[in-house]
Amino acid sequence: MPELPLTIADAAEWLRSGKITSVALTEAQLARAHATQDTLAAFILIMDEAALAGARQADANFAAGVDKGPLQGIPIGVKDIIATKDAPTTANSRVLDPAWGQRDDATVVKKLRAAGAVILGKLGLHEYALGWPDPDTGFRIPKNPWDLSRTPGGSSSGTGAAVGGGVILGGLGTCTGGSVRGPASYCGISGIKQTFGRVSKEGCVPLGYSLDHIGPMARSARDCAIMLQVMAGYDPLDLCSVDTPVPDMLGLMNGSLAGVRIGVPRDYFFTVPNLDDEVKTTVEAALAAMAAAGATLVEVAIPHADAARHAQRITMISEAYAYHELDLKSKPELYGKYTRQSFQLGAFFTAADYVQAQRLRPLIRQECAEAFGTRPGDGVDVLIVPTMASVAPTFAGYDPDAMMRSYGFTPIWNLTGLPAISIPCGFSEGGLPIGMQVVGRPFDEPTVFKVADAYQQITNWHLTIPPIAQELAKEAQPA
Amino acid sequence: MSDTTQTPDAAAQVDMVLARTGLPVTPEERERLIRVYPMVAEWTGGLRLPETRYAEPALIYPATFDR
Repeated sequence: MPELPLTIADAAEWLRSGKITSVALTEAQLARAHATQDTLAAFILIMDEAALAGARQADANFAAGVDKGPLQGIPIGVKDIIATKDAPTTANSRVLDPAWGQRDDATVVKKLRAAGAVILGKLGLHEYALGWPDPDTGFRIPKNPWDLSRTPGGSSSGTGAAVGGGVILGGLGTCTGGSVRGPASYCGISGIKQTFGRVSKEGCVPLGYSLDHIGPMARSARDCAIMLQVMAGYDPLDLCSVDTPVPDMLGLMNGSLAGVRIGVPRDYFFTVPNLDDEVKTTVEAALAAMAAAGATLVEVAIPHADAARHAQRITMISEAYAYHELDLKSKPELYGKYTRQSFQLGAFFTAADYVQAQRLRPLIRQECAEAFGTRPGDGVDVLIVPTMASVAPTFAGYDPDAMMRSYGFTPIWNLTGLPAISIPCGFSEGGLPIGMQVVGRPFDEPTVFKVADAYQQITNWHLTIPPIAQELAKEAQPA
Repeated sequence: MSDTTQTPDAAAQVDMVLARTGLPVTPEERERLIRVYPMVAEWTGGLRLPETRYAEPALIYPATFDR
């Protein structure tokens, strides 16, 4: 049995019952962070002093009867593409102007601090949230906690590695085409990209302006909901922020799937040629388990899902190229080679290509609306599809061009802006995690969380931790 | 780049874009761009669906002083 809590929800209880202090929890997680920098390599910067100061403040608040909510005293990590006032921000790149990285907290970081969260450090990522790690850039390359020879996924690689490896209880990722859900799937954790506009992306280095999200990653859907509750809300500093009420993210969680209608778009999402049989059968088994628990499976269709993949990629790379064009011309050698190669493609899209991609978005949105059903009660509550087409690949033999050719199941939800969480739903024969996405209607994260949490009540995939985390649990004792 | 009804010479197309944009690339990167050019053309060609012929793009500029 691990001697530290596995989830944020558990840690919140421990902190309030006196079973642990925030300082003891933070010290133990800091010890894990340092102990795994040569293996998991999850952090770009570990913020010992700032974290302990935050933990002491949280304990002081508890002692004074001040309780800011379930994140008070909880150590979390921040992807190092999101600004923090007490640490530089690198975007895992030698290109980013250091002046940018020396700014105030991003809006989400302000909100998390205000809720009492303890920032443990800045987490590694793929450079500028795209591409593939290049060892020549000098940055650590996060590893998959289930197999260090494999990628934890990207671009939120450090967050996936750290949460999956039991180093932190939760962290921030960013997602433009799957960068929260991909690492969540590969690392056996939960991670949500909420509705576009629900969370401010102010203070985050952009990749694709109209696709970017900052999303929480943690072991359980419940933990993601706890984090999102704090992160969500209108922010006039973000042009994409939507001024709409924030619902109770945990309000619909009742552990039940009875009466839930799940749409399953089998065409494309369960039929593309690069979908591993193990992934397909595992997600099908999860659907069967949910049906056995009372859910109804409904066949639905999104006819142009494949075109959505193209539209997302052209939008993302075009918007990224606009941001990076000057640096690509003036200091290309400072980029990692895979990042540079990814951005170079942006020169090959025309203005008409970009606008055409934006003309496709309403079409895909309409197809999604029809898949969900146009009237409340006359359709499905969520869609469920695989997250990734395979388990985590090895670092060796990486072929960026093959990756670009492959079909994906995550980008369409960035293109449409729909909320989508990835949760673990099983393991491959080789012992690697497999994830599935629960996708909701716009701004209906509570239903997404209800379904994901109910599935996690009848399974324990999300609580299955890798050997490296089991070793850490034996070694790092709280004070 | 958008016209996939013809089969343009990939090297010539890549060189034209690089010359127009002034984007510096290494010889290896130029070779890669020539290699992936057909894939990129497939992506852009795949966007031109009959269903979007008269569609409005998802581009909105808020004409307000508030944001």
